[in-house]
Amino acid sequence: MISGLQVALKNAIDVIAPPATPLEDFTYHWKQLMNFYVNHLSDRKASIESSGIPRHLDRLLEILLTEEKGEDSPGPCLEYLLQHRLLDLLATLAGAETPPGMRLVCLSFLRKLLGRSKHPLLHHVSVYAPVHRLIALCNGHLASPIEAEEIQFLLTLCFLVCKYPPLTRIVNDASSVHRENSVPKEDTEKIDAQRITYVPARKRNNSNPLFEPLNTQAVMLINPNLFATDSEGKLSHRPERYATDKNTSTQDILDKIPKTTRNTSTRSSGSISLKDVESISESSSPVSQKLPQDPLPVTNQVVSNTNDYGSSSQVPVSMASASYKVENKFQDPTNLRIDSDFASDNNMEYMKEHSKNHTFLEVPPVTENSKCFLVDALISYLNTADNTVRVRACEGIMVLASLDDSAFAHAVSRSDLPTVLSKRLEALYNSIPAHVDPNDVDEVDVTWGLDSPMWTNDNKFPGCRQVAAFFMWLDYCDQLIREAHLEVGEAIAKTITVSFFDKVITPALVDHHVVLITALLTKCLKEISSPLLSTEISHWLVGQHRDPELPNVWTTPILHRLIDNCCTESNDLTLETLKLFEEMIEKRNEHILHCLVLTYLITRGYYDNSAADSAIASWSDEEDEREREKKGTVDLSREQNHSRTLAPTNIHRIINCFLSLVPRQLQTDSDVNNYERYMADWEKQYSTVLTDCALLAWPLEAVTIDDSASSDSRPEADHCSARFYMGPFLTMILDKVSNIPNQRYEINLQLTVVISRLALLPHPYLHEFLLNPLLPLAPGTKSLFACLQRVVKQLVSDVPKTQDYKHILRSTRQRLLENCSQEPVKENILYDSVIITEEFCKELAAIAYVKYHRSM
Amino acid sequence: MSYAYLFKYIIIGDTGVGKSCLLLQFTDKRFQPVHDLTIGVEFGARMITIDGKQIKLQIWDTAGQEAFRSITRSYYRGAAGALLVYDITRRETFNHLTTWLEDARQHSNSNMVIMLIGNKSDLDSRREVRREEGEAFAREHGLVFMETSAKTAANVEEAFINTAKEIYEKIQEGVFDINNEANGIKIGPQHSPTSPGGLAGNGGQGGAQGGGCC
Ligand SMILES: Nc1nc2c(ncn2[C@@H]2O[C@H](COP(=O)(O)OP(=O)(O)OP(=O)(O)O)[C@@H](O)[C@H]2O)c(=O)[nH]1
Ligand SMILES: [Mg+2]
Repeated sequence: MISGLQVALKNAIDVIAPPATPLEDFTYHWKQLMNFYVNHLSDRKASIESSGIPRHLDRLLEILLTEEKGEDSPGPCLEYLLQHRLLDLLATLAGAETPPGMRLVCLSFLRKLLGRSKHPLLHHVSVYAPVHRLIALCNGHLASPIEAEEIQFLLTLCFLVCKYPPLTRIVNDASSVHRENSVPKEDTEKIDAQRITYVPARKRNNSNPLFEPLNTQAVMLINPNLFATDSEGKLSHRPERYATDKNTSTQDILDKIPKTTRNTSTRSSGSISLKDVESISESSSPVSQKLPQDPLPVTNQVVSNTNDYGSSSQVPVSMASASYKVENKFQDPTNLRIDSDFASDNNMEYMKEHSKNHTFLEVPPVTENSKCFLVDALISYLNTADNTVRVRACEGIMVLASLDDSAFAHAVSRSDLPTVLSKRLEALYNSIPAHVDPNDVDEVDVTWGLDSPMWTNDNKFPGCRQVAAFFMWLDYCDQLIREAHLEVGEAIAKTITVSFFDKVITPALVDHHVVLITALLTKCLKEISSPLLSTEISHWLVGQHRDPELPNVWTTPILHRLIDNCCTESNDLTLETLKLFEEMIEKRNEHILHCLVLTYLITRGYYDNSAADSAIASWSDEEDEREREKKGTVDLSREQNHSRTLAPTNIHRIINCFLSLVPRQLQTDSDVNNYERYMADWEKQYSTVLTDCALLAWPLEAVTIDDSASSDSRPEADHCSARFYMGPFLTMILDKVSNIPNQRYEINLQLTVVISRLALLPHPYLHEFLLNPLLPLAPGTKSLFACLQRVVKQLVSDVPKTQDYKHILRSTRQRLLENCSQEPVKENILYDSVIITEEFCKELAAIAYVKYHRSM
Repeated sequence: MSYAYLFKYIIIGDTGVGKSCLLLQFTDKRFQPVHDLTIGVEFGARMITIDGKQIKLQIWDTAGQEAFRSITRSYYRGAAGALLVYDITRRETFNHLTTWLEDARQHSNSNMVIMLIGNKSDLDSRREVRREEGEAFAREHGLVFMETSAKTAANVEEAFINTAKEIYEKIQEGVFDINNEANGIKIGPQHSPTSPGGLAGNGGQGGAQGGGCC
């Protein structure tokens, strides 16, 4: 135990010590640090504060950072640190948490050193091996008071990997370490401590090849071959050979290694002198001797891999092999020369190419799971309770997932990441209380980084916090998919769709909380913006097949579930599901729109060709079209880029149809031309719609596919025999339109919103089907206009039955549209329907005009 | 502490321009001479007063390093204000502004207030970007401009507060929909949000908000 006095004394000595060279200063602090262990061999529970360790580490860091200022090549202190494997020892001490608090101090030291040093460092075995062991100590599954430091350490590694992409494999290849909870045995540690403490501070030896790589760091980074070597030093042609038989060689080697020789794990200590190195080399040599021509790094790796991690209590199994690789390399002057040639070449492009093609050499093949070592560590923090820590883990994962390295991306896509993300989404979904009001869901607007469930004001509505937490997570997943490497993004999007939407949401759509669930689903759809996830969700919603369904043959379970939900007794469910359909249309996702409506309309089955022929005089539009068809200049339309279908010359007649649909006696709005007030709004929205749909490659004009060559000769009956089927969705919608007089106002309102959204789309077939009442329709074809006509007919016959109906209608209008009424009027579905029909007709007129205007 | 409004800011710009120092100066009133580069995104908060109203600022200090750009993109969304910082002693940080601006405009909501900041004004002797150039850039792109020093604290308060004022004015003008938290603005707890109350008076079943006028 160091008494307070002793500490004070020591501090005083530190201060009055004569100025030393940085290296002397460095080794002094290191030895001071080690002295603690020598003096406390029996008592490991002394507090870290009294140990002086943090102070010495701070000084060491300071010296290292000062040293590299202005100097481009690494100085003697850094070399000392690398050569004597100080970090190894620190990692061991951190692992043993001796004294208590050591782990935090070590993580912080390493984080600062790696983050601040201008040298990449991580590619040195004496850095990455201890770093691996520290990563293994960072496990978010185990509650830890130093979570924040752990995650900051991991994030720093992410940063380095991004800054120096070739480090990706080095950091993520866990072959040199395994996650283990067993702490190294005390006695070996004692020896460690003693050895390290009494290592003589050796003078820098320039002839020692150990020092060489420090000057060629750049090369080591981009030319991973430096790690891979064979005794012959024939570097130049090896990569190609590897590339071809990479797949088989590992197995071959595995097969050739006798079980007994597979593991000769050598305990590597913090300080490794050349002599140590040699003995290590020997220990792994049986393998290499057996396969003299085979790539050593691979064999070494295999050796450490096949070691049974689970039962091994010895720590850095492959430390030996790893160091062996490097040492062996350094002892071979030829290799170094070749590599320095690379450097002097300064041909970065070439070297990048070179390293790209053979990056697998950096890290020899290892087992599937360990290829994402750092990712796995970060994943373990995704479910932590501390939001800040979790967000940081999220950041780290995002950075790694977006690395432009397809082999690594492949590994990440097959890691636990997609499942963990999806599982958490499910857990958060399950924690949403069932009593949440579906109407409140849409109000929650959160992003994963800028919000925290903790800040969410739960007073807003009960359950708000849980809803917010769910959508924050969805936002993260969505953003991650957007930013990630394509393969990673696809894997996550698929997993979330299958494991969450299909496995969890699908069955819930018949659940008794289905109203809330539909509202949540609508919000999900609204928030999802990444193309990959949108695509997956769209497939889930409307199926993958693009061909029209046959009537009564249901191939898309979700779509039909939703359509059924629109037709239940429950108004709430109908309303919520219609909102979902609105959102589906608003996504302007090509696939959804296609499967929902367009695939049924593009054959123009609703159109009556024969009628067009006879009644040609009255439809100038049709005339135009016939002209076009005659001339066979369908392409003409392409050039002009303005759709005639959307801008028919008889637009005024069309508008009139809509405006005069509701007879005067039922109209409550004195000014019929009032439809114009809707215009500005639709105008604005239509601009957005046009931009969104510009890339959808929709046809410009609605034309009948010319099968006339045969149709002329065919009997007419035949022609009409295939009855037009508008698909399950439009059928449901038009049924609802017909039912307007009997439906609640909210439902009718939402129904008109859905139809307006559809009508606004610049798709010629959809346009004429919904917005051209003058179109000749094939016999038996329902249309929006016809349905509305029938509605009006019913209203005209029912409403005037009441005496004072005009007055009632006027106050109904006030109640509904002006939101104020002098006298409380009782809700009445019939009167409400009159108002909504009147307004809906005006909206349709406005939309038709807006589209006309923009297509002129 | 209670507040009338909460605004979310982000600080963006090249590495080393002094983003973290600006935040530290604003929140803690101190200066950090060593460049401890930000890894990921750091967070800070402070209360200010505008027009007699308490306003809480939540500020996210992003990493300027290219490696973290994917994260930064996530943070644009849902921010009400952004401080776009360059270093007046390093021209390349000024040259990169266009890229930053494009990124910000593309990923943020259109109403986000952007304040352009030329930092390290204390190092006038090493100046590489003239004040007028900053002003011109700001004018051209419709930004507010200011030169600051995180070291001497010159204009630091003003930079953060003026951005808040700008946002506050936009709220008064009705540009920001304060009920939509996606804008990076929250109403304080005691100002419990008035129920949206319907789109009363805007006539009819306006399609804009997807119905629900009543
Ligand atoms: N003289 C002077 N130095 C400054 C000023 N602001 C920042 N610095 C210095 O500039 C360096 C970088 O400052 P930081 O705030 O860490 O830079 P940053 O923009 O946060 O950088 P990243 O986190 O990497 O994006 C530090 O060494 C600061 O001391 C300033 O106003 N005057
Ligand atoms: Mg910073």
